[in-house]
Amino acid sequence: MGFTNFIIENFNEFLTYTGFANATAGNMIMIVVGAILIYLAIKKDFEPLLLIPIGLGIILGNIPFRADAGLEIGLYEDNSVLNIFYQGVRQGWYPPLVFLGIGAMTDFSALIANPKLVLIGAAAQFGIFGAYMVALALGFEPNQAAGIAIIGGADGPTAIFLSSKLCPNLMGAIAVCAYSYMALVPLLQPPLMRLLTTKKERVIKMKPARQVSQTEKILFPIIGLLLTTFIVPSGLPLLGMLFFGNLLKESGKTTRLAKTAGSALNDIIVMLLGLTVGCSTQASEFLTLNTLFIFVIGACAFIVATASGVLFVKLMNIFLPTGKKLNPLIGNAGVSAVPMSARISHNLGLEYDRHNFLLMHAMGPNVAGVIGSAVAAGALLGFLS
Amino acid sequence: MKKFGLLLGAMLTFGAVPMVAQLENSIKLNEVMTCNTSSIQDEYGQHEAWIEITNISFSTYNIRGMFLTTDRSVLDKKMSVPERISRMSIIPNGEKRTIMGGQQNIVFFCNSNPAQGSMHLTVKIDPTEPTWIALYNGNAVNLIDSVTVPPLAANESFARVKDGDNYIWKRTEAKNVTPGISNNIHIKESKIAKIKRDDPHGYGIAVLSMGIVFFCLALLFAFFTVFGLIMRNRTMVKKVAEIQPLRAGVGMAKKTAEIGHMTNVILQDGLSTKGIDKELYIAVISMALKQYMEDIHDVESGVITIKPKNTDWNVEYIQMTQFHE
Repeated sequence: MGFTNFIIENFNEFLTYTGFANATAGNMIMIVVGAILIYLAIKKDFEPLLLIPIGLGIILGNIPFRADAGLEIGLYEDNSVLNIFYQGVRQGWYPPLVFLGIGAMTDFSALIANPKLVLIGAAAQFGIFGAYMVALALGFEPNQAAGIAIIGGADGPTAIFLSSKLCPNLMGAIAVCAYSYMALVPLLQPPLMRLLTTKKERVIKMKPARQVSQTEKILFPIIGLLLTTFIVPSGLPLLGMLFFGNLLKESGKTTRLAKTAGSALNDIIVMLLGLTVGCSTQASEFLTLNTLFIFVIGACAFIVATASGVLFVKLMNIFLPTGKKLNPLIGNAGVSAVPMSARISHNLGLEYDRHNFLLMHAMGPNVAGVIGSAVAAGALLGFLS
Repeated sequence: MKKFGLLLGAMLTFGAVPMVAQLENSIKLNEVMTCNTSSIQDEYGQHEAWIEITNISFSTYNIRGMFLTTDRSVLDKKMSVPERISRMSIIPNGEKRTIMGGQQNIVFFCNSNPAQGSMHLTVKIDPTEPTWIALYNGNAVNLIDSVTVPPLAANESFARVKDGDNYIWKRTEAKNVTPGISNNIHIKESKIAKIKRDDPHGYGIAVLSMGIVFFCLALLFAFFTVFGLIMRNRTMVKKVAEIQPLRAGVGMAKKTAEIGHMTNVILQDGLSTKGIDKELYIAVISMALKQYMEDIHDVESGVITIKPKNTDWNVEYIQMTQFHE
């Protein structure tokens, strides 16, 4: 009898630890959301490198368990493995490492060859500040508004970096929103680009870019670092690592390091970043009205960013002589979703003229967008931290 | 190797010294209470005069080994170090609370007995007289911070508070003293609250931040436009020098004559034998000449390299047999 009681008591206690006993409707909804992201990544090929870790992270973070059991397994529980991984997000050191990888993989030649493209990258950042105003109008505090608005930069690491500093409680929703919209760039941008351009503008052929010397490529990260960080030191972690990665690539002497930064290290960080960001979206934190607002503002930010990039190219064309005009289809690439936005410019260009190859031209504003969004994040951090 | 060692040593020396000095200078005297009758108590429930020290930086710094004193005679530069130390009170080693995180404060009790605990110093303070208080670094020579505290009423403090962008020392009423925490807690409006009040719609921040982004990227644009022009001209000069290093004019004339001759041959050949339009030939040749004259064609190195490529078909071990034949 005593033995039977022992078994029953312990079994009942065991049941209280299971996910079934602790599940809430919110957990189930979030698990479905995670599954949808994984489906989109695998089936529709929407940013699989990001959406698979985030999707699984959402499922992982929403597995219910007894919070008072002190098992040290949850993301928000001190000393748990997930909590240790999460420190990279909380302390903001994953995003600069991702920027190191981006720098090591990015070729800035298109930008160096045609420096005026850098201004498109600046114009597209208007999405961030437009969204900032919308977020304030919706009642968010200035620091929260800035964290949400950075989604308009279309740059996941930057969004995570800034929100971890300004509004850590909204970081999960902001990160998921930023990455979701980045994955949806192929669906969001083309209709807007078609709407804002004429058929004649879409077939503008741009002059091929000149060949850039190695000296210019080496000097770019050094000069870029000095010019940007002297003005916005608060952007130092992101800009410093971006230009450091690029110098590793372009110096020609540290190929091994550049290769590691751009491949193995970047992959490791992306995995940990995606997984922990996904995990941070626990139902109790994520399923709120604020999250809905964040997604709405994020969409506005993307639309404004794309539109301002395209319209800015059209504005530039007014002042550029015939023969040097820019194709406005590269304007969307001013957001820093590298290289997706540039690929969209290219594909749309080919749709209207199969001999018009815009990829290399669009890479200019695209990489300028990376710099621009990091500078914007630094400026907001400086004002609001 | 020796040179490298010297360079590394120099870098470490020149890099580390200013860094330590910079952190040291971030340690400041923050608030002083000379007559404590009902303010904070020590571990034994006694009310003692106290000095608060703050770390204004965002870096952690251990203030152990620093000295506090109220004896003005230490200002004499000629005084020996042992003599100075005898007139000062040392902040003790082995106390975790002396490791000050960024923006943290620490309170030391004065007129006290160090045997009572690490936070108790022998620094003498007379509440009826103006008191000069100084903080010296670990060598007891370099003055880090000092203040002269006027006679204060009971439980009043003399505190370093923010006044605009600067800090000033000000008498603080008994109800507003802040031992162990920031002195500006009552008067400081948070940055966020200020922005919310002054820029409720976000236009100001948007214009400023957008301006900063544009300015940064416009600087890059300006620099690389100018630099690109210089590099392009340099490359062009180099190309011309490579193609026609000597007697450029003669070379050009020779080449033109050669092409002219070839044109004639082709034209005749085309007109007499193949019946191709004369205009077409002229157009093709004109284009080629234009490209040649404007130097817009590719410049090839003229060196052909055939790299050996190993595949499974030609690797040595496949072609070898196990035994001699």
